[in-house]
Amino acid sequence: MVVEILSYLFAGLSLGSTYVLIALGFTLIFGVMGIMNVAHADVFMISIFTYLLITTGFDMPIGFGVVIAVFSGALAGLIIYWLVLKRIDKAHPVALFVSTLGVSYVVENFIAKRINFGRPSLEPIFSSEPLVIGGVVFTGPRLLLFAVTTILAGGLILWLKKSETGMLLRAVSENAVMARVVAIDTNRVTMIAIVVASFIAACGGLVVGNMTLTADAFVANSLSLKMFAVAVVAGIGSVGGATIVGLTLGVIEAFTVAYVGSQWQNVIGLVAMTVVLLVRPQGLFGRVLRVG
Amino acid sequence: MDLAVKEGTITTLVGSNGAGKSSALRAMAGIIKTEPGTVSVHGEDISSLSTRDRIIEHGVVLIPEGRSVFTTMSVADNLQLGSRVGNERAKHGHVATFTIDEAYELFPVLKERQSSRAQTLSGGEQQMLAIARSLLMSPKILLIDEPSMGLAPLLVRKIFGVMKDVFSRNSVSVLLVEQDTSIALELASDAYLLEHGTVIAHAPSDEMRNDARLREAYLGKGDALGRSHGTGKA
Amino acid sequence: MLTPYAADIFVVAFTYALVTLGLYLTLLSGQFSVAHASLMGIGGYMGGWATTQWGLPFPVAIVLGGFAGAAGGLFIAFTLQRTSGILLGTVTIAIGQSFSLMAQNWQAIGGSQGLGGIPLYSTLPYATFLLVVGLAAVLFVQRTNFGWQVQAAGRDETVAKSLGISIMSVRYYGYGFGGFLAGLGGVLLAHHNGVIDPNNLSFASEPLFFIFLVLGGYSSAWGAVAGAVGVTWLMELLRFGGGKFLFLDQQDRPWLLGLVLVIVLIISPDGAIRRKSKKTQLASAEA
Repeated sequence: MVVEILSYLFAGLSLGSTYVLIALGFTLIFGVMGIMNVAHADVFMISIFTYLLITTGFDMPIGFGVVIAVFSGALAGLIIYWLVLKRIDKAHPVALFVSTLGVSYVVENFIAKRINFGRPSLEPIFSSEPLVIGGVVFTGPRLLLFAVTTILAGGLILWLKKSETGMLLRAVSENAVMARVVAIDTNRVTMIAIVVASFIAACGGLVVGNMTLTADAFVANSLSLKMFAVAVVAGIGSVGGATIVGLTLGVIEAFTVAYVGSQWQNVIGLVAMTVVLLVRPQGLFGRVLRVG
Repeated sequence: MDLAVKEGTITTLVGSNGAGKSSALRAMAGIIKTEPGTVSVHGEDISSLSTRDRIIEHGVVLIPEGRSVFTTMSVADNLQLGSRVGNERAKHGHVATFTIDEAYELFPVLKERQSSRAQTLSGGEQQMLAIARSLLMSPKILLIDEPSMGLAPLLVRKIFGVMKDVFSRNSVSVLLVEQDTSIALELASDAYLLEHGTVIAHAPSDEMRNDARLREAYLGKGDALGRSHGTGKA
Repeated sequence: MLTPYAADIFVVAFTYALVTLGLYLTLLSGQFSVAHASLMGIGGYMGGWATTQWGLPFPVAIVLGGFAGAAGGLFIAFTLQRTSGILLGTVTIAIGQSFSLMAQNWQAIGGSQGLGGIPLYSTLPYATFLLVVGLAAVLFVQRTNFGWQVQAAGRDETVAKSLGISIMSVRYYGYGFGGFLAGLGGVLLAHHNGVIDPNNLSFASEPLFFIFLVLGGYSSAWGAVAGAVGVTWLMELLRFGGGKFLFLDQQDRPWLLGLVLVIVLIISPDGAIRRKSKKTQLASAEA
């Protein structure tokens, strides 16, 4: 019985880790830019496909594939910003938002076409003999996922708190107009945020891809729901909050699937999101409603 | 609107609500557009420069209206945002003479609360923080928007008293926008009166104090029976 | 008369036109809800269920499907009444995805295979009739006093409120009727394809409706319809004769269309989606 519960707990933490990895970047971008970049989830996907291209397509070593995949994910995020997001004035938030939908649609369908709308399999990055602790199975991929999530989430939180650039990011997130008043180069800060966010998403794509061993061009369609839910429930730009909420959501979902029914798994995030918006719109951990 | 600030002095912009005073400051800082019209420093046209460039290259620093600090960040961080700018200006040849130590000396309460979040400070303390931060940016031209809002006049006079020394030492020119004309005319040597976005009077403070147009701008013109209409200030 | 092939394309085009009209209505009323693909799916499931499980005649199924879509829309309007703007858009995307994933796991309504064996009732007369009636209704309401209120609220809620316009009524109309139209489209779709599955509920096809709307001229009901019909036909004609054009073939059409949407939005953002934020209005007032 205890073993069962622990198994579900860790399954939930795995699920939650995925959500954290995708939500961290999303909420960072939302905090700094003030826009909800729906296409962020596709950076996750792009890194998986780059890995596929390099390792399976060009038959190159896995390590190589990983490095290039992460790099191109970060680059993809930057390109999307530079080509599209930057060019639509924030005074037109709806057009900006729809453009992110458009970008997402383009990227997903373009890649899907290249693989003839199939679902190719991936070569594993890291696998090992499963570790069994207290009856709970920890596979290699799962351990990698936990490790990477901890490092990236922890690293991001520390970086934001302690580094000077992190401080600039926090300033812009709180009030972009005031940030300009203190001579912060908001353009540069935005680009840094995007690169960091995309880097995290790209890493996320690889470690999750390592677990599922499939490449799905439309993975964002199931993932972005969680991305939104975590960001909204945690609060705009709250990175620590997103970590907690993401993991919690994963755990709740796992227990729901186990004890209630699998069809309800994907409704929880939605319900949480709606409730938070009604009751505490700034999010559980959000402190101020963003200005500017 | 045609305004000029003499170097090393404090000039004030007075006028009733909606006269366009805040907008003038924000336009000078580059936060809002000023077409048509130009903003220049020592004769150099800076209208096309971004806010950031105006700060770094020309030392045009704005202290916006209201609590213009980053409430989610600590006092020390807020100040650091200012000293970063001062350091950057130093690299452009504008050596910073105002340091964080001096800021703490000037405003001891900031030193006490350096690790607290700015949100926990009182209104007056937040204003002090905003001012300290701005001084750390090595301003040459300081644009101050309604510093007295929500603060006791005594506190405002005290803060300014403390700042005047810094101003003269660094030959900072100040443009002050104020609703409270008595404080404004007390602190500044020169005054502009604004109404509906245009300058309707310009005089040294002593003269402006007694200028009938000042009263009119605030209290509205009187009718035939000498009664005055209009918004007036409290 | 039309060839069966052409008639078929028109059925699909009119189906999309109904959903696009629904999207247009919702956006017009100032609410950025993008759940229409899902409301279409809900309508489809309801209609399909009605004919296959309850053996109801097609017209009844149509009405039921429409109401299912409307119910979904009204539910969204009600629960999210305090949310607006991009946040609302995001939640509605989440709704779409959530329902789609839920349907995939719900064996009772077919799970990931969906609801099959739906009779192919969607003929051109039905599709044309529904579209004409829908369009006429929208145009009619626009000419009424209420229609004017809807547009006013769509432009600026604060001003509208001060004019005594009931924002909730406007929202219920925008979502409710918009959802109804989407639901109608769903029923038609289900009875055209013979099957309705969770994919039809998902958000994945929503950008398509934006493409129709934006390319057709976002600012009128006719534009919504013209965009849907025009682009659907364009897609047909761009089958590249089953062959290739450079490296592109017919499966490239979706992303090409998406690209057009993005480009249009970059070039003409305030043209594309009407409402400017308060900031621009204030800024231009201040200048």
